[in-house]
Amino acid sequence: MEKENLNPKESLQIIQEMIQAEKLRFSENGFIYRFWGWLVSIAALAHFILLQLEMYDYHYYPWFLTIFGGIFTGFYYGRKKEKTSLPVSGKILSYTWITISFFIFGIAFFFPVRAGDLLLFIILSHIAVGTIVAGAIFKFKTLLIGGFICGAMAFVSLVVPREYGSLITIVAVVAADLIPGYQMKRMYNKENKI
Amino acid sequence: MYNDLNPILHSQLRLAIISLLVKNKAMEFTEIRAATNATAGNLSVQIKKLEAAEYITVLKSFKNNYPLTTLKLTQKGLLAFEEYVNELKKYLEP
Repeated sequence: MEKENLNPKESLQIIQEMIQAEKLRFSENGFIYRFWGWLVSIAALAHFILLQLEMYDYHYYPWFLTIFGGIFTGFYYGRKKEKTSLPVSGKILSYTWITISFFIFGIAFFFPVRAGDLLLFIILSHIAVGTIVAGAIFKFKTLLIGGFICGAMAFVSLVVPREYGSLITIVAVVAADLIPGYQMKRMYNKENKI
Repeated sequence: MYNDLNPILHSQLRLAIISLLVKNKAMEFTEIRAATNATAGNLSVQIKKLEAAEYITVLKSFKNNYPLTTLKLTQKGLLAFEEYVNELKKYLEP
């Protein structure tokens, strides 16, 4: 590979980009991971209970909670963005999650019948990709492992009866969102001496 | 206007340690030693100075019955490094 010669200004630019990426990591308190972890777990549990109660007309209603979750996340990051300009890694992560959300909400709310038995696989595999990218950017092993577990759950969803899909979803978000989210909070509090 | 550069970071080896830790989340003492080509004694002294300034945290543990020293950058260290780079930039772009 050809070695690129950088002038001091370019070198400093790269260093500053690295600093901004590290600042992004230090500023992450895991709130949004905990928020989605609890939101999806509650929706999935309610879905499961409604199915067990044979309320087939309403069983998917709890998932509408995620629309409010999406709106809240948009406001949360919109507010945060005003305070700090995102480094390249932050922009990659932001666009990755926006694209993933677009596909997840699109398939879940507009084409669930066409997706059929693959619906949960599509949703969980997308979440797994986002979580693994986030884990790589934050250099956070728990998030990486959570992403892989979520990906594994996507495949598990293909082989277990559909009514247990909600329970698989709970396992996936506990691994990909709740555990990393609480660990991030602990690390953030420790770093900021809260 | 030129400000004084942070004396803690304005040392070749200490700056190298911080730069390595900005790039890598955590590094072992031996990895830093290999990357900087410093002697163990000198490296230990500089690490202690960075730790005293709360720019890094040093975690001592064991790996396969051998002592393992792991270094991590703190938020204070990162902000100090950012300030140092910004000041240095002023010197390069008068």
